[in-house]
Amino acid sequence: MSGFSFPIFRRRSAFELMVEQHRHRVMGYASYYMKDQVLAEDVTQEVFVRLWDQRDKIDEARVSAWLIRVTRNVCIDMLRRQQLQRGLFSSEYDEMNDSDAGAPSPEEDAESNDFQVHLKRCLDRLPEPHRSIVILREIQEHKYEEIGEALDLPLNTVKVYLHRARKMLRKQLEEVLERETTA
Amino acid sequence: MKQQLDIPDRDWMDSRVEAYLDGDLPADEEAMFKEVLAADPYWRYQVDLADGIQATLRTLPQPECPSHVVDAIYARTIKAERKQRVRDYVGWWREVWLDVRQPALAMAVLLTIVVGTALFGTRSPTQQESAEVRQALEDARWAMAFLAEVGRNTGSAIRDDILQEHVISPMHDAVGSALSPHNEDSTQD
Amino acid sequence: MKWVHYFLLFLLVSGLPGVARAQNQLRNDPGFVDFAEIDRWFDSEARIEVNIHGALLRLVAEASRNEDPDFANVLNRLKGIYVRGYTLPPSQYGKIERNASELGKRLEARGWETVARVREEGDRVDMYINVQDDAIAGLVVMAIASGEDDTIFINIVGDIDPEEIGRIGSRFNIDDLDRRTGRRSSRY
Repeated sequence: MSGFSFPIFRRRSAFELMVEQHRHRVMGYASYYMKDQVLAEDVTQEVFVRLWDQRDKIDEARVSAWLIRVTRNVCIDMLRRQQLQRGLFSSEYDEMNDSDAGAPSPEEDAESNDFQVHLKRCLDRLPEPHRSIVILREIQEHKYEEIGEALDLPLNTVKVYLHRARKMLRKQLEEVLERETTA
Repeated sequence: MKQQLDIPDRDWMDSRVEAYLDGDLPADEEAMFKEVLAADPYWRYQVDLADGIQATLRTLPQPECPSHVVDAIYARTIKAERKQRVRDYVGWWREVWLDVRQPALAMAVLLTIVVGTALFGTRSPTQQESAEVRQALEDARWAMAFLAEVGRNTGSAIRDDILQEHVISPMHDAVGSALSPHNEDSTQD
Repeated sequence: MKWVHYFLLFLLVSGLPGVARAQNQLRNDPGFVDFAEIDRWFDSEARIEVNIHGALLRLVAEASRNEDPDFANVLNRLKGIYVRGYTLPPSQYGKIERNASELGKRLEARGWETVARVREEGDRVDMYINVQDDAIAGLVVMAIASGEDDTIFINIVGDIDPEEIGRIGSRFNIDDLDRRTGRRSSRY
């Protein structure tokens, strides 16, 4: 049978189309931010419920930037709640996320020679907003303008942060790889 | 006269590795960077490392959003709104019904029903009805567009099937037979 | 604002006998197929639900007359437009396909004719018509797709000219309509 392709005759609301279009990206960003799949699913759900509540007020052309901003905010809120539940207190929310708790020991580092694993660990250790910018630009390939709008940063600042983040990753990886070769 | 060579320091090089990789250096800085790069394997390593980082970042897995999350989203949004509309409607009905028990108002409603039934079909739509009609019009257009789309695609699929089996393939076979070497030999003396 | 409530109440109540009459008549119409059975095939409720008949259909026809008199004429000859759309998980595809085949056989037993049957890579489309006195009185399309695409069932009741529907329907951009329409059912 040739030439028959099922055309897009689904009848979907604009909201459903937006969910379809953006859900994986929101989930991806939340996963990297929260470092936990289950929490990332909760974040994703919350983000789209907020999109539903605000659907009449959001300009469709700026949905992507809006989603990034809200995803980040929801992640921060969720992490803050987690920290409070654990009885920790910090006035700097970035510290909560910039934790070394998950960082491997030098011995653990030496055991794994997987570049990707090392890179992920170094990425997890980057401070905000550098980490978010790397995730959004290098992994998810968002436009600079979207990232700037989402994080409320001028375009040049986004580029500078990205540059610095990549340099930090390079420096950290250099150390890790050096430890491996000398171990 | 001794020519002094301006060898860039470590910080200068270090801060330009990523920009070099991205092609963002001005021409003179790029030339200088390349000179040092050619001479110093350390910087070649740094550039390779930066390149590897960027390439690996682009291939890092991106977790997908599972369908149960989407179901949960719709349960809290679209479906919840529909249920709320039904609840609101039932609540409104109950409220109106309580009021209607007053005899004077009940009379007015009965009168309105009689007059309304008599005028049915000539009344002008209320705002709510207009919205219903507009929605139904879009739905009807969509249904027609859908049928046209399906009709077009099933027509072309069936046509292609029939043509392929009954026209195109036999034609190919016939042409093939006519041009086969066996036929050519048989025409030669 | 109570007078608004009463006015709406009288519209509703005055319309009900008409609706009940219209629906009762259509149930006996040879071109009508009751989709209530199809609702029970699926675990989740219909994502798309369209029911346009009776007075609503007349209003819709009149609403379109200025802009598109051809479309208005097509609608005026119809008695009902019914659509159901569902999400079909791949694991349920076999079951729905079997149910659709059985429904198709029952339609054929009732005198419906199969006009198209297309199968490709996990999608299938079946189209049936009901002919009365040399005219098409009913049309059913069952478009089954698993995964992301919706599975759609359509029933059109009335005096149907497929060529006219194809011509007029082609004028509407389905993607634009997808974007513009909200996800409300059109109930009357």
